[in-house]
Amino acid sequence: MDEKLLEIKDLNVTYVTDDATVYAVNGLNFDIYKGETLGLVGETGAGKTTTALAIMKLLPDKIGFINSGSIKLADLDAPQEHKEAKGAEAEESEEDTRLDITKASEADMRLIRGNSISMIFQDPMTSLNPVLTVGAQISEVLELHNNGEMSKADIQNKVDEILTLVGIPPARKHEYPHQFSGGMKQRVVIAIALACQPRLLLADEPTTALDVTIQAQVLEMMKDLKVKLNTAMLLITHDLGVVAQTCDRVAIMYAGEIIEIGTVEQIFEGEHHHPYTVGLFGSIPDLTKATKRLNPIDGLMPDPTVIIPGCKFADRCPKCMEICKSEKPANLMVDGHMIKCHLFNDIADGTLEEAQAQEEQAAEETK
Amino acid sequence: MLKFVLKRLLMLIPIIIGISFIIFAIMSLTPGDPAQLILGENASQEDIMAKREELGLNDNFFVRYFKYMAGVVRGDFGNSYRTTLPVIDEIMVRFPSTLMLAFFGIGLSVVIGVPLGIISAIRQYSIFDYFSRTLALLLTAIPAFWLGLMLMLVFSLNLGWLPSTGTDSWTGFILPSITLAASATATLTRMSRSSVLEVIRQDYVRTARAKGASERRIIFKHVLRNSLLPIVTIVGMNFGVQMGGTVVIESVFTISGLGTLMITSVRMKDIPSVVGSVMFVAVAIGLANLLVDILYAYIDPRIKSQYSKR
Amino acid sequence: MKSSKMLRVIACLLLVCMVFGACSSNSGNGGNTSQPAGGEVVNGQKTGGRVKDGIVFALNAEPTSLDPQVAAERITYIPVMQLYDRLVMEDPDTREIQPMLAESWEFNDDNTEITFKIKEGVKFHDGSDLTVDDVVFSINRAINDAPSKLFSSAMDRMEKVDDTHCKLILKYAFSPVMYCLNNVQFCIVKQAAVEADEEGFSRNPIGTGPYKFVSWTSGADLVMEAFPDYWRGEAEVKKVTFRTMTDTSASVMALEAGDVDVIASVPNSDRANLLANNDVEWYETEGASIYILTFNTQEGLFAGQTLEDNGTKLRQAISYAINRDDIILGALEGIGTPLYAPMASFAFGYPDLDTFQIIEQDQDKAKALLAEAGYPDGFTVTLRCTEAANYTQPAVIIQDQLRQVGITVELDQMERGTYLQEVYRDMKYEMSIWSMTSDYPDGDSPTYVRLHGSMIGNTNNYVGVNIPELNEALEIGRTSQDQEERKAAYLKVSEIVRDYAPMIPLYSQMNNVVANAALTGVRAHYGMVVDIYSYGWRAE
Repeated sequence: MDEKLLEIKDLNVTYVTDDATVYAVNGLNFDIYKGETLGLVGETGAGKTTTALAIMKLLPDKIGFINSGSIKLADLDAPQEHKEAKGAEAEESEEDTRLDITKASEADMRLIRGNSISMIFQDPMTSLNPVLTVGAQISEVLELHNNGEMSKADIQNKVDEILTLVGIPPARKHEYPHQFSGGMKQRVVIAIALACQPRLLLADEPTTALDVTIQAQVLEMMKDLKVKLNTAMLLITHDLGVVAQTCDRVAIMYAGEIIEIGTVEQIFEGEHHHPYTVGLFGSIPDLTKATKRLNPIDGLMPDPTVIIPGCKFADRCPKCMEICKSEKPANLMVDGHMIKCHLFNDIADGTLEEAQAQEEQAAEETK
Repeated sequence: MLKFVLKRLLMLIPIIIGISFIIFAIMSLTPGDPAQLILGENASQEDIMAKREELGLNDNFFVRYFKYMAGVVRGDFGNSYRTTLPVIDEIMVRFPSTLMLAFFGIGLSVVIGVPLGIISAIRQYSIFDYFSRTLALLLTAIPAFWLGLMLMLVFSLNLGWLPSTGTDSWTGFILPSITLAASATATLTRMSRSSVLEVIRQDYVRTARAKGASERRIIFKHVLRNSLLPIVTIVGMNFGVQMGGTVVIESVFTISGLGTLMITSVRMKDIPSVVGSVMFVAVAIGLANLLVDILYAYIDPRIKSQYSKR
Repeated sequence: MKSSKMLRVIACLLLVCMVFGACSSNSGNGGNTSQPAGGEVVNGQKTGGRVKDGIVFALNAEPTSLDPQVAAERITYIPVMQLYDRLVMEDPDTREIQPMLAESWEFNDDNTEITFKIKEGVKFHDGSDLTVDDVVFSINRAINDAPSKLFSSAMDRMEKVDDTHCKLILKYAFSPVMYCLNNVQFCIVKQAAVEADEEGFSRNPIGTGPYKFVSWTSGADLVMEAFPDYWRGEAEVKKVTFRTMTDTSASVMALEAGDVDVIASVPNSDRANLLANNDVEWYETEGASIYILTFNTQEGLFAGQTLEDNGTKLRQAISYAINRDDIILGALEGIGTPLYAPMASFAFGYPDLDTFQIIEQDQDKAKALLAEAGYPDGFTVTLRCTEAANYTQPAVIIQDQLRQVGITVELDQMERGTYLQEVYRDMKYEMSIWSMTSDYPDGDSPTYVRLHGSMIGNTNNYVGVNIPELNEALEIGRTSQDQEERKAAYLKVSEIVRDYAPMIPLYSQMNNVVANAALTGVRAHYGMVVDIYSYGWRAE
């Protein structure tokens, strides 16, 4: 099994405004392994972007709060100071020395952002500063994280290198964002994100704003880079086609929770699925059939300001049972992947937590 | 870029011509006889008639206008009816004071107003923010002559620190500049604040944060320059307008500036002086605007490429 | 990025250079004026904590010319008077005419010629001698070229008799003629200088007066210094700087701060404050500006030259409707003198109020007159005046007083230039409030030019009155040499004006001068004449 890079447990994120409190992420659990691409799929409002922002600790100031839970980043990549601080203690005990992002200081986060974890956002048109050259924006991230080890010349060389890597002639680094097309802008954004060779790249719908042909190019490029730099990626998208192309594992998110997670094969081809997943796949128009109407899932996502007892999908679920309305389903392991649904209470092989506990024990035994 | 500047300079010419015509028309066609005003109330009709002949006032309006413009083209802006001195001399004697006052006043407003606005925006809804917005409101509400007289009362009369009149030394500019800066500061504070607030919410600021940049770096490198455009616009406009002088401040502080010259000339129907000073101010404002537009190009490269395309 | 940084640096440098350039050009100009200082003591003279070698005189408008035969505004006269002498001068206490450049004079038998003996040994500011030719030149220039013919209307020309005498020939015997010669336009100038550069003389004057011209740049201070060879002896105040300060609050503050030493005229609202200030002295005297309510007696609502005309009755009604004391209280804070005749109260010929019948406020009589004239319910009329407060304030009070008898007054405030053209020159008005000034304390001034029928259309008699008895009385007053006869004539004038009311005299203001308490010899004058030669420093 690959090593875990990021572990999210029971994450709760709320937005507090004068009008109401929005429960954006509720009891979120998933892991990202080193070098893998995890797709995070869901409707608008599911909490995908919030999750990514929480990982970066970039939630809007004074409005977004991580209430509880943990986001742990694997040791190898924790900031130097942190390691040194914890280092002595770690030797003595077997305590978990991973950095918990939810408890990290802003100073620590600044060392991580752009360096260990990078994020790219949805709209490339507005993601770049219009008054700075593209080269300057890329070199900025290098300057921020090189600890004074690189000279100006070194930095410029690196910039050239990265631009070539994303398929932009290095000579264009003196140009301004408005002189690039949408697709090229997104490449620049990706270049910025990957300049410091982060361990994890959070990509929030990176190709949604681009047209389909460019989309394909950019995805190819990202795949290549990922392999070259051994970067893990959390790919947030609502496009199942993209997921199929690029992801190793997929997590389906609904109303702030992961309701199903597994490998691409398990999700796309497996027998058992969460009714929501079924609905999602069912809503993809089939080019081979002639239909008059599309096949959406009825209803809307529940109001995030209201805490619902029981399963959040209950009111839309075609297979809703009584128990669904009152009791939250457990994270059940079915056919090797996790489904959060009462339908599988009988055929499950235990819960995710049990499976994880077993793994940890096994890992310890092999030490 | 150079072409752009040249084009703008050339465009000033029709503007100046238009202004001169309109002002000339207004001054000539409204009631009030310059000859009478110069000679005073006790002058007899014959004297007034003679003076009118002397000033060329009996010619047809268009004839007078063309004669005047012919002189302007040669560089002769005529002589003031009131003082008989060349108009251009009258303007140039007063212009340095007006320029200095504008410079110090607007400069002060930038130095105080812009940082105030920026900090307000960064610390939105904090006490500092409320304080600076209240201050802005107060400064807008206070009339200039009251503020000027109060400052004079405190600093010249009671404390004796600063001179109350004249601009012999640079200390004489302090109180008038503060008075001038007051309402300009208010506008700039509000403008800077709203501009920064808008920029801070932009996606590229979020990108910068995602790179791990510190708040300080974000403000100075990413936010500031992008917020500048509206600020520069207002400062440029203010500066241009101030070229026309402020009668109130000049009067209170006994500064011999363009504002007083223009008002006195209008009252005395001193047509060459009015037309000359207005044209002068129009050129000054035009140049100030051009400077602002050039600055735009250096602030925002998108604008620079727009200029080059044309 | 680099280029924009460079640009900013260059721009800053440029601005800094501009600033310094402008700074130095300014301080070059103004270096002579006194700075607020505390340290020096000159001749043991300390004044109000600040020390002077000269005085700063605040004028409320900019002077236009230092040429006495060109200057046309009262405020300009102040600096002009310091630079020149005249043939005669007025004793400040007795208001009698005294010799100045004219040592003595003689009238001929029918008083149509005056022969003057001119003082010898008088020098101009440039060192040259005053000659009779200069006198002749100056007087003739005043008669022919000066902007106002008010004072020279009776004069024909001045002729040279010999190197020490000259003769003034009049068109007719004119009693107040000596006062006219005291007027600023008859200042004696240097002929050669004027002939060499007439236009430039306005800014480079040469006279024989106690002060000589030093410098004057447009918009900046006007500086003069004491003329050491002045024939009456050098002035005590060595330097005078005239500064134009249009805002009186600012000039009062400057006075209190010691930056200014004398202010020519200050609004009465500052009176109480300044009286209480020990560093400052308030001087006042009754002024010779006569505030009048005028009517267009030629056309319109108030037209009428006889007592039977309705227009005349309406004017009379208004005479009965107003209350001068209330106007003075409301517009002048109580500081003014009510007038019942169209001349200064101290002028020769002003009626004796013990015996003269005045019109007191009587609202019933006013209403009765209105009814008689055919307006029992009153009427609406427009009152035109300029925007200056000294006219708008009384206008508002009069508006209210007339409202009480049923007359609705609409105020039309006009810009000065427009007023002069439409009301003053073209007589496009019905009722107006204005002032006329008496330039010498004699009934002739300004009654003849304002009320004589022949003066209509010359912008002087703009009420348009032409009453034969009035004309006759005015002529007698002007030409008779018998003082008793003249007095009777002016009494008649006063009566006719009272009864026919072509204009209603309202009041005269107090003229004031405010000065540093350390100055002596300062006086207020009815015609705002300033004589800095008589100023001195109080010994400590």
